[in-house]
Amino acid sequence: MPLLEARSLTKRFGGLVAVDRVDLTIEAGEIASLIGPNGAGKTTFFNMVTGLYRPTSGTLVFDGHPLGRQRPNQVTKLGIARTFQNIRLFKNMTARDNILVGMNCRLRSNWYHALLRTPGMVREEEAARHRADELLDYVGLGRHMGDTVAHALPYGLQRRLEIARALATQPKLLLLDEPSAGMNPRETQALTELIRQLRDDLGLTVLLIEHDMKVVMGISDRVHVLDYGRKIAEGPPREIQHNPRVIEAYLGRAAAEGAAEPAATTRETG
Amino acid sequence: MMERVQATPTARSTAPTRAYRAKARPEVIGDWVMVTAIEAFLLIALTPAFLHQYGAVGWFGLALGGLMALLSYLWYQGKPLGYPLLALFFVLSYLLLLGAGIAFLSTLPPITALVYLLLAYITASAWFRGERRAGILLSVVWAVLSVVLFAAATGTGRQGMDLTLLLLIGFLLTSGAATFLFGVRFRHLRDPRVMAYFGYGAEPPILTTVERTYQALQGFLAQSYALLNRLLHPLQQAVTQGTRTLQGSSQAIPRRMRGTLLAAAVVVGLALLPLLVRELEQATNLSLLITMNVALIFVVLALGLNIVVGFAGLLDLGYAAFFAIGAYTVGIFTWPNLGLEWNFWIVIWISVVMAAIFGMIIGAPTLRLRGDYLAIVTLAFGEIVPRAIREMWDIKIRIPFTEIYLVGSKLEGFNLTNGPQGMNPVGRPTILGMELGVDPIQVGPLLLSPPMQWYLLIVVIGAIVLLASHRLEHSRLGRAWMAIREDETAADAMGVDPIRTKLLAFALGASFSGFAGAIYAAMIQAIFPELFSFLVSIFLLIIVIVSGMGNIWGVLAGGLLISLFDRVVLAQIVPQYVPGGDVLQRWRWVMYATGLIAIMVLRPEGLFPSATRAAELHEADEEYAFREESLDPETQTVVGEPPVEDRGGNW
Repeated sequence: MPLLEARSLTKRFGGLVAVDRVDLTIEAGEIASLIGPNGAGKTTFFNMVTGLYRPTSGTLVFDGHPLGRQRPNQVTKLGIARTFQNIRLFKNMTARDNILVGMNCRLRSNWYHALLRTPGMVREEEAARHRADELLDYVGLGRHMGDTVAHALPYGLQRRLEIARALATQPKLLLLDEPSAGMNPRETQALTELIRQLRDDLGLTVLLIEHDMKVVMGISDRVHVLDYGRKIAEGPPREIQHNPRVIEAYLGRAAAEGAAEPAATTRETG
Repeated sequence: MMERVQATPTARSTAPTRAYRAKARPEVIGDWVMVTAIEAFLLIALTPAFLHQYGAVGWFGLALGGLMALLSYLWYQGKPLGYPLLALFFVLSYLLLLGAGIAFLSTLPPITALVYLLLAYITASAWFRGERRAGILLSVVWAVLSVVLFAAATGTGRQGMDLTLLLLIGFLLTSGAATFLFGVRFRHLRDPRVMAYFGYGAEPPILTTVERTYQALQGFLAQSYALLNRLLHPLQQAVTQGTRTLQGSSQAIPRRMRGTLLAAAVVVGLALLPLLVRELEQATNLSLLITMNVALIFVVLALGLNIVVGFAGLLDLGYAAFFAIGAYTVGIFTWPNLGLEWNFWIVIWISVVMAAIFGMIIGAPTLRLRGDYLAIVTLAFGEIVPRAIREMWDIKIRIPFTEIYLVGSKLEGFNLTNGPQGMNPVGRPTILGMELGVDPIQVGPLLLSPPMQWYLLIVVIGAIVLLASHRLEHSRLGRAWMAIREDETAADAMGVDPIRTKLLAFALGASFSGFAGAIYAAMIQAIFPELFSFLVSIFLLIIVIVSGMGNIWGVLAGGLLISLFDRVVLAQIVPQYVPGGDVLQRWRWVMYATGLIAIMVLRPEGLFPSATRAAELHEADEEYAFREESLDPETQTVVGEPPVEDRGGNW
């Protein structure tokens, strides 16, 4: 059974169809990429999966649960976490507190526990802090950064902190919206490694939106291509690279005609 | 608020014919509510009793409304009567609204009238901007406020509320019919043809005028700020320098110790304070300890408001309402005339629960509102509660058209709150069988005077509330509040339930004022609706903002300073020792307002800021600094700016 399955998913904004009858399946344990020119509907797709937008029509099933009507926090509880295209950390909270907010939905203690400071609550807080430090280490910030206010962190580390915050929600599926945006080549390389680790160490399924083709082709098991809200291709990276429709979407028709030959094996949709 | 432009999809305005067909969809209900509210407003206002009572003004207003209607008729004469029903409705509205409105507003105290007009303006504005959900909620609040105010103005409160009730049901039905059958929909006010018909462009002229005035005022204020800022610059430098030195020296103490030390210092200080106060009281003829008690109660209130405003970032302009609910719950359960006379220690908990429940009641409908709308709804709630309390001394609920009374009787209504006369006496707390605040109590070698007994009780309650505040701040919930305040969307996506989190902020914040209200009522022994006016809410908000939102120690210090300044310096010292000083007392609100503006300009984070809040408010400066740092050494370009999606934003 696929982990995430979208059937004919559509989102309309007034007269504009941002996502148009997209079918997409993500298998558990794979790293999938969603690519497409600017405005192709990638982020809209993410926003529908995470509950920020309600689909106009179509179905979304995650791990046996139908999505589409849940609020974002309910989706997160089911096991989907995300990062944002333009970093949306809680800028004035410390790195550790950012991660602790991510853990919020997995913690049990309530306001009355906090008022009474019950032993269970104290234990849980300590465990959460411990786990937050582990996560800081894991994504490469290091626990000594724990008390640093998020917006004081260098850009690359802010991206990593956002990933750590997403990991703190204990997701099954991690959605990364342009994780390498604004990074220099060295940072991008390190990030690619991190994403691969997430899958290999933690068994996470990853879906990323990415513009950096080196990243996409380097780590994806499967690539899905959107253009004008429609899915135009799907397949392993090597095939996608030579798919004329994809090249056309990115570079225009003339370029596509020059590179048409080796695309025979790609499954075409839309 | 004024600059926010609603991006309207073009598809909507191009399909008016389809929109005019009445459909029984849920969104129709919002318009129905609006129509009902206006009808109820107009017709209750024009009940004969009302015109009888405020005859001259009422008729003058009615005449003016008629003139307006005539003018608008002449103005639009040449234009096609596209929507006769709508036209009729609005001509009638002009007629009645102005007439009734002027008569009605003339009966209200200025602040209430202002709040009422502001709410009406914001409500209309929400509808005109097409913010339907906000419009519905604001209309409901507006309707409730209208009914309460009308009950007061027309005296139906005394004759039994059933007339109001009956009218309301009648208009609910008629307007419902109008809405469903004829499709009179307020959304249609935004239709270009309707707009042209009534002679307004994007918004009706009255709104545009109001906005222009507002913008001009804003420009003037901005210039004044700039001038003030330049004049006060040296002072600002000194304050910053001072706090920096202080912070520097406190850095030497380990972090964990700092909190404990501060707590110990506060406790010792509070315990020793009465001795000092007694000396001072003997040397002068000021009453200090009693004032101190009230100041501490205000600190408890400010700590509660701090949860809502400081922690969760929800602007609450009507917090005094919860204070009133706390105090009146004690009143109702202990006032001898009602015959309950329960034990104070049980009732104080009922107070807390009642305040929390009302916190949720005001919180629930406003959960999806942000910023201005939330503020205005809480403002209205703050007006509704004391006004309702004021009228609840003669409650008669009769089944309409019968002589069966559910509450009260034909001759006499049920007296719940004793209305404007206030409730007096109120039950006192007892400790070991001794009533507090009556006679001096001997405890070992110490003879505790009544104010001293209150002082000790309030200090204990205050300490509990402070501890509770501190624990909440550093808990899972406290972090969730902060996350919501920083970025609600991101918090939601990270698994924080915004609805639950905000409701808890309202409920827990309000519950603090349940404590404060209960103690306050028992201490002063007589409670009146006027004690919980809008100015109390504003005073508390000034405390929270001036002392530093989100910092509980700041709120403690600031609350004491400001309350004591108000009640000791301004109310007692100045009139006694400064010749002609009573002028200052009369100008105190001007002083507070000026002080508030000065603080907002010079130190928006308040006098004793929390680290997070200070950072938030100085974001702009630091972002600039951060950019300079993040220049890439090789390319000399700014790194850290993600590429911008170029096709119509972020979809």
